[in-house]
Amino acid sequence: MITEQDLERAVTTFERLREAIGGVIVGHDAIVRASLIALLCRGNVMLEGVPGLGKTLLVRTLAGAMGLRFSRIQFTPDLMPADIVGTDIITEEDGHRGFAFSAGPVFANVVLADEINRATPKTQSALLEAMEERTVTVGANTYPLEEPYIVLATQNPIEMEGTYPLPEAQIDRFLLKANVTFPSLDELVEITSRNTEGEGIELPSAVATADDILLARNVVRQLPIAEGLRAYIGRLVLATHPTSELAPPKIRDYVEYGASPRAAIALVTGAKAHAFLEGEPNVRHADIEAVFKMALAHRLVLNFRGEAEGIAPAELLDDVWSRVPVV
Amino acid sequence: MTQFTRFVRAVEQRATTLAGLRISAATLLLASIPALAAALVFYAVPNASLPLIWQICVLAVPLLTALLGNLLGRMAKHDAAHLLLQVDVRLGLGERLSSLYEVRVRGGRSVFRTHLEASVAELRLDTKRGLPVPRRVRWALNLGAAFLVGAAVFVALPPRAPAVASPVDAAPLSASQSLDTIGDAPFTAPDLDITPPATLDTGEAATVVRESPSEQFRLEDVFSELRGTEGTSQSIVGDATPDELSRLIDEQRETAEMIREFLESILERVRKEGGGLTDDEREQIRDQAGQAGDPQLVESLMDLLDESEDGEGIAETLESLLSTFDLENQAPDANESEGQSQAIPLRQSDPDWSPEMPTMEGSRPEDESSATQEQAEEADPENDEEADPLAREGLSPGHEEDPDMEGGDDAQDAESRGLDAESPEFSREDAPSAFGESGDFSSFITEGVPVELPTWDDPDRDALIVDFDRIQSILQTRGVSEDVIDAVRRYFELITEGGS
Repeated sequence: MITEQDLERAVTTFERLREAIGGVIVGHDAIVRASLIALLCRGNVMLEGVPGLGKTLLVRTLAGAMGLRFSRIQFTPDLMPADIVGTDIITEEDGHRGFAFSAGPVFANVVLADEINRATPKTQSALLEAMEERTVTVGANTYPLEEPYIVLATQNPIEMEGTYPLPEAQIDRFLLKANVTFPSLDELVEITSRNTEGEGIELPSAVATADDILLARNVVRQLPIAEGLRAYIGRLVLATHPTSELAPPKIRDYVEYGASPRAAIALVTGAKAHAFLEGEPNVRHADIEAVFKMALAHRLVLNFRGEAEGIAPAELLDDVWSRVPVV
Repeated sequence: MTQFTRFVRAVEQRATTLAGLRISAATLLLASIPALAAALVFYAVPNASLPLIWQICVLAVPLLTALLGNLLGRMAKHDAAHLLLQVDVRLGLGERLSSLYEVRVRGGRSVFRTHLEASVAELRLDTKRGLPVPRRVRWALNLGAAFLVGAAVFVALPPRAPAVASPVDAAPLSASQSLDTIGDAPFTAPDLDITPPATLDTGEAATVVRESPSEQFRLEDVFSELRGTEGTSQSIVGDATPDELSRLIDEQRETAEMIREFLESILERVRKEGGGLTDDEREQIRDQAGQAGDPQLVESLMDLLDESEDGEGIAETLESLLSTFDLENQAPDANESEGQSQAIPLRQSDPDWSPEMPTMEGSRPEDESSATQEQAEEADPENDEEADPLAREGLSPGHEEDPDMEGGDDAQDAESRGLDAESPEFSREDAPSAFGESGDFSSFITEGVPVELPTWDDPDRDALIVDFDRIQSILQTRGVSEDVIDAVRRYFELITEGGS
């Protein structure tokens, strides 16, 4: 049972977090919010954007503000799964030789999988278990990951040569996908100012603990949502399927596969987290709208025609949003 | 009862009302359409009237159906969560109501329930805005109500009188065809084939036809022309009986005599004393002009008033005017034995015509028709021979034409002109009922026309007694041209199968 004090503590924690992140990161409100939503929903985030936009800094700031363990994995084509999850190594102690598990970088609270699409699918899939089950299995042993746990992956949308597109199963495991946009002029000026003057950027000190994060997660889970809105979310997800009666013409024309049930879960939990961050006592239609595209865009699989014509999933989702009535 | 409970109750009541309205609108629309159709049908059928009980039924059944639909709609159950979400979305309440409903349905106390109840307590709920009447329901209601009002109006209107003639056969007939039909076809009452006199191309009627050849003439046109309200309304009353008409003619004759005597006295004074008209004389002339029924006479009197103070000029005008009186007095004398009356118009074609005499052509406002007539008179005289024999004769069998009858030549000329002119199209029209005591035609034909129903006892003998001499006298008194008079005469000969 969530008490008034728990609610107040959770709200205060995330207000402090936003302030701490805002002290380092210039702009990128949507990205910061997406990261916090994923953190509250026990999810992972895919950040897509060109290099140099501050993706890595954002993740490091987030980890620093929460006082959590941070690790960064730079994905390259020759990266092996063991390089991520760890491996058993031979140890010798008191004349006895044996195997001891050496944990990889995946064993942290905040994991940055930088340029995830540069590693081979085999390596990419090494993250699947960690992202969904929050465990890592090496050999016959399964190791739990410490909560709160979040993977923030980045990928470069323009430099696609020598990359390996993520398999659908792995993409589906990202709660949200956020596009990191180029900063505005004012933001750019502020970025250069912070990075070139004084002592440079200092990562914030911890303003929250893991317990605070876990408490906030619990609060978000209990945030009420009207039954009608659940049904609405269900209709939205169904409308992304070309075979559905609810599907608008564009979806039927350009989509091969629609969003999975995991997308509906992501929408509900994401809307709850968004409402929580907005200080609302219940999920609103506006909360669903705020996470709709982030939760569904990367889950649509375009057909050949859609790919050939370069249809943007966001455009299709706009059509879905405008055509599916709330009641 | 909490604020939220009151909201839920208000929303449910509104939903109940809307559900009832939805069903009742549909049923009202569906039921009012046949009601309106029934009312229209009964209104369209001549002399058909709905009994009072059926009138009530026509209006009451849709209302009762709508009421029943409303009751049925109100019995429907509602999903409160769905309704509250509707209200939330429409009023922009941030889904507070539906979320609180969800929390309360799941039971238990939570911090969110407390927050939601606190925020809902501050709301002001407008259920009419939250759950408005759908547009299609409003349309259905308005349409249904309009149909019902329309039905009520048609039910309330008095039953339509039977139409004199309805266009049955739309196939147009030319003038010559019509005349052929008139001349050859035997008359049968149910299939009455009438070409109204106005469609016979003679005189004024010809002018009218040329102006609007597609116009369909009805029997009413004939009678309205017979009534000739313009200029004679004082002397002839539309519904006058033959006896009254005779009395009115006598009165007009007396008036004309008085005027003649008055003018003679003025002439005598002018010859003795010279000079123009005195103010007193002018005043009396105006009074006499007001009493005179004949427009030609009125115009002559008004011309007299316009004369200058020259005594000789006035004397000449008075003599000319008095000579007209003399001619008019001679004509009735000549026709007295045939029961004809006064006011015989003079024309240039008459042997007695003189330029000093005021003529019909000169005095009538319809100079255009006169001009047309004159032009036609200059046309090829062979047309007279080519015209239909019946039209050339202008008579029905058994009728003996008086060679002295005014306008006889004109009538023939005009008929031949009408046949030679571009034939206007006529519509064949059937009379709705038979002649006789049971027919509706009898009540119509006696309006101002000296036509009588037979007094004999033979019910199978459908006929009318037409005193054509009196018709002719009346028409001449009104200054109706001989062409039209002839057309009227032939018309009545046709409908009475030559009898009178």
